[in-house]
Amino acid sequence: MILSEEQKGEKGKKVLMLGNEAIARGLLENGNAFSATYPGTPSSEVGNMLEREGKKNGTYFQYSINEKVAYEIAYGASLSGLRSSVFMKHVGLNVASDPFVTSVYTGIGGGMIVMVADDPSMFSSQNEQDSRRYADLAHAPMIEPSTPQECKDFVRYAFEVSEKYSVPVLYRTSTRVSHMRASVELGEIRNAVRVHNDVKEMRGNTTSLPSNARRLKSELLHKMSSLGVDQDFSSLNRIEKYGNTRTGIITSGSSYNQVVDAVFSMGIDMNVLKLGLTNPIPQEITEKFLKENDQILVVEELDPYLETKIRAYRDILGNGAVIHGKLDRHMPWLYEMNPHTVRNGIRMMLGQEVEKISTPKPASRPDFCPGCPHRSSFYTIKRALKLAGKSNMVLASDIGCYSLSYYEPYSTADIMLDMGASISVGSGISIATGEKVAAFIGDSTFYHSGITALTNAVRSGANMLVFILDNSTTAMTGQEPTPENDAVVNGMEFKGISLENIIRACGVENLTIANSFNQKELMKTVMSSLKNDGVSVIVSKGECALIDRKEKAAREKYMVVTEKCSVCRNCIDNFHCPAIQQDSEGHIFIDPVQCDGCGMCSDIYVCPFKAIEVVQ
Amino acid sequence: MTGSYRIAGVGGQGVITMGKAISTILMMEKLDPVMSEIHGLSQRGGSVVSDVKFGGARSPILMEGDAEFLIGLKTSEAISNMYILNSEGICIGNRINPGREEVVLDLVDGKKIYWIDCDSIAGHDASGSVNMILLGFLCAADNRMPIESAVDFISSSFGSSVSEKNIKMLKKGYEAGKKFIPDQN
Ligand code: SF4
Ligand code: SF4
Repeated sequence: MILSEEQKGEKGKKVLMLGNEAIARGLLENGNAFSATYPGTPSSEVGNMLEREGKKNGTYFQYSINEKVAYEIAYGASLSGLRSSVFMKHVGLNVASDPFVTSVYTGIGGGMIVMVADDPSMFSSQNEQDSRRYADLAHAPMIEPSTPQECKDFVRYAFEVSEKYSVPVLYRTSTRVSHMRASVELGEIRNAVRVHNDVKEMRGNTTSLPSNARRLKSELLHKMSSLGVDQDFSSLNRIEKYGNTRTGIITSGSSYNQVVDAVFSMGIDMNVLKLGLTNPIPQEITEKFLKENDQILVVEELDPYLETKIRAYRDILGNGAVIHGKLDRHMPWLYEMNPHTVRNGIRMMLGQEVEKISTPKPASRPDFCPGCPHRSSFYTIKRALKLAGKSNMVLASDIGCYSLSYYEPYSTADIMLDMGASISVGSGISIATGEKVAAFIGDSTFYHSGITALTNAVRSGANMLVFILDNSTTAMTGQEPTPENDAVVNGMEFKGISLENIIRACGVENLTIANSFNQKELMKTVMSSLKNDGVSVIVSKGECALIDRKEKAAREKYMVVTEKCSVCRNCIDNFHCPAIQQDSEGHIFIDPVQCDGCGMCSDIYVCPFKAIEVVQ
Repeated sequence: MTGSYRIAGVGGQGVITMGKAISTILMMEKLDPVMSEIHGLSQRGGSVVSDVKFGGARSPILMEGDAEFLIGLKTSEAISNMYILNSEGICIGNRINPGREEVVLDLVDGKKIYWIDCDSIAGHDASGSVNMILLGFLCAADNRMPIESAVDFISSSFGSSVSEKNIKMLKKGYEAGKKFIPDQN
């Protein structure tokens, strides 16, 4: 077992840390007392580390059922005087946006940090939204670190801004900041902070009736303009001068790293304004920079968020520089920045020829892990649908590993929109067409947003077969628990909540529990459930292959007995376990490094020649 | 001095551990590494990569033709990541060599590709130790990575019995490298 670097760490020591781990460490060093999250790549490791280490400073931590609930719980803790924090991926903030926007009006008690991680280039997400827009929309302060060291150090300012102005602070990262590992100098851990705050005394603020909200909105605008000129937080921003020039770049977050690398690799002179506070834009330093430069390139990922603000600033100042960025096509609107795109933006600004950009290699297509229960489920479900003559049925999928069933050879996903949407979109289609629709949703996603959708589907008379793919975990993001698992929280034991009871309580009468790894039984269940009208649910239970990997590593591996193998390729072409491969002589073999020993390929439904056996 | 490495393999082979090992060794040498990791969806189904850079680099992103070293824990992953190497790049890849030679050198347009038969070096099925053998070989091929620091990293990261096994494999990889690579400066 590798001891995490931070466990061994002490004050002044430099350790190698992931950006997300550094944020968690920053929370522990700054008296964070209460944290909640719903995991989502690329934000998950903040919660993962607090789950392990929150006790170091007395932080209460929980995995909540979804981001909205996580947000509201943390807000409640903040109102009670605790320094609190909540973490989510960008689309998670959509879910939590309702409480977020209004809580910026009401104000808070103990400092509150809302960490949101964007995913430019969509490594692990369904869209590429720019969450900085939420800071604007809600009039919330926003802080953006660029490196693991800043991920840790800026937490201090985030709490201070939050408490000084009584607003939640958006702490925004992106994949490359959250998942970058570098050396971090540790500070001292500080016990959880509770400030005095009486909710009763705040009721004129915390009850967001229109009469209160009108006053609060105007106070909020005032707070934001004060923060824009507040010198207490000026160390979040800095100007770096490389050589002597009147040409500059304004940037923040991950783009800053790309900018500095590009400037060095080109060997040119450049002034760089690096903003750590990106809402509101700090007035003094920005004005200074606009006056000291004749040409300025704004380098940022996704939308021209900073650029629009900087252009407006320049117009108000009236004397500022020529601004370049996305709006005049110097920089791309799509995907994350890389050294090439930044160098080309600089070249365009300087009137030089741009270099030909090699398109980054597309990542190899993801697939279920070897030993994944979903492979077995979808292989069987696809066969059942074919046998029943229902291959044309609309198949609505959801957010999680199982959405990979979109790809060949499974091809069992026609729709995937957002958390819980399989059931609601599916029921919409069923009502609109009068046809039976199938929905696929994971256990964690079902708890997150499927319960309301299922209740509504039953109530509206949809004709649906809903598969709940229960792998006992939130697999994609790092095997976080779900409400179904028993848990110990702060020394208190909680019994897991029964999935079956919830499904029945939603009004479902036809419910069957099946084993994902028993293809025969699952096949029968699907065939018979297809005959039902109304909403039927099949829970396909099978543990994620990544749970207890150690234990499974000791399991027998499987091999292909060449003499029995007819090279029909069914195991490769239709079952598609990555461990099963064909060598240059045409023999099918199983790579022992990748084989998880699940044994599914030895099933007669996968290998009709019984050529796959346990390694002797 | 600057440097760049890509580690490529499949889930469970220890790609991230390898990245951390290289980064930690570089840190011990005061070379200020940055490292990238891939999590979530893009990690599913096998391929995992991690990039490490040092020497003033702020961003760990490697583009086509950027890397000095490619460490391929699996043959197919080494091949599919070959594009990342610069014109004098070195690949250290795990492969079963045709005659079970411990190391085979291929030269492709100025790039050196060392194919390491890890099973043959270990003297048995090396599947759990591929990363340690290749790390040892890398220490022999890259003079910025002293073998002593690799040993320190291993002893401080794993329990004593795992450490002992890993150090043994590390040293086998290192010796194979020393034997095979002529006059490393
Ligand atoms: S993480 Fe678990 S659920 Fe996700 S693809 Fe792998 S085995 Fe399947
Ligand atoms: S037993 Fe078969 S299906 Fe399961 S992981 Fe191994 S090769 Fe894949």
